[in-house]
Amino acid sequence: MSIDQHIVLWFYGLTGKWAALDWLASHLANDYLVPVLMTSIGFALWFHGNSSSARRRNQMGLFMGGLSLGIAAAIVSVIDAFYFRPRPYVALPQLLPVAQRLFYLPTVSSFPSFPAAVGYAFAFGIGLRHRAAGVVIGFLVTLWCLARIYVGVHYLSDILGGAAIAVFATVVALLAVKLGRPLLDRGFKLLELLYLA
Amino acid sequence: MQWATLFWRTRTNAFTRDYIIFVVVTVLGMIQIIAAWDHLLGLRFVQRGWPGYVIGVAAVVGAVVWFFGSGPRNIEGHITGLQGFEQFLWFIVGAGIAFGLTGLIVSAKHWRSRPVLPPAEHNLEALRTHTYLQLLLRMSVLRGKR
Repeated sequence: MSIDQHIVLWFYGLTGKWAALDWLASHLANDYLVPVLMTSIGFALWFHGNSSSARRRNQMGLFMGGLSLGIAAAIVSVIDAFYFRPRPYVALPQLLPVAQRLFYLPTVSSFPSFPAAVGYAFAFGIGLRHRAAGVVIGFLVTLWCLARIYVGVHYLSDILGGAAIAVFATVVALLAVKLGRPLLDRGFKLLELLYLA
Repeated sequence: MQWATLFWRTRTNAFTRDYIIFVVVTVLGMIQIIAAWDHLLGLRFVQRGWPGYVIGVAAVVGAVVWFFGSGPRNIEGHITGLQGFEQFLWFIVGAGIAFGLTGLIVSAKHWRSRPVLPPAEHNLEALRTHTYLQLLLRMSVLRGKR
């Protein structure tokens, strides 16, 4: 048995002991809760700043986060086209009732973790310009990923793979922003005319 | 309006509509929290600091409780849930609605007042002292003068 499977089974050992923990993990693992919270924080960041320059910095952070997220999503889609890893509940049948009870049975590849890739990409991108927001979003994404291991639909290595993709996507986004800065500045000027930036 | 209603009915199912409402209320709450923090008159429902935070937090918590209490939400995207791109698309729509509603409500609340001084800067900083309606009226008046 691999280290990955040992870790998943450790989490499995916690399920069913405390209803509150099962309830919390079931909700945190959800496809909509953390994404809506983290993108809402990012959206609110667009308006945040005690001066125009501070606000512009935060807006660039949101743009970086969105671009990193998009690049990470594209990378995961390409990997999924060539590589398939079965979910933990396939290799470890004892996880199947837990996954059915607390979540659902995803059919796409387990590796890399799409939530980890896009979530951490968004957090890293924003964190480059607003550290506190990046930390908060990163914390939410970590809870999201841990919950997914708990409900039996991801291995830890899926999460780590997703995080690595997020780092790469953020670096690519940073380079793209540096290259396209004049165009971005013009875009911001246009939004300023409409009092939207 | 008929085409909008038809679009809504044919392109969305109940889950999508619930998701959009979830996004609208959550983003609305986040905007209130940030508007209270940064003293943005043009986005605040209430002018004093702490009620804005209370409204914002209540909106976010209320939206989460409602969304998860009103039906099963752990559903795979290709069944009755939302695929990744659909989530992104409807988030943008929901955030836009929340932002538009906020601007409208605050503008309506302050429509009688006229700031004496012009906005300090031609960007979001102007929302510290002006509502969107006031800014749009200024823009149209200045265009008329030219």
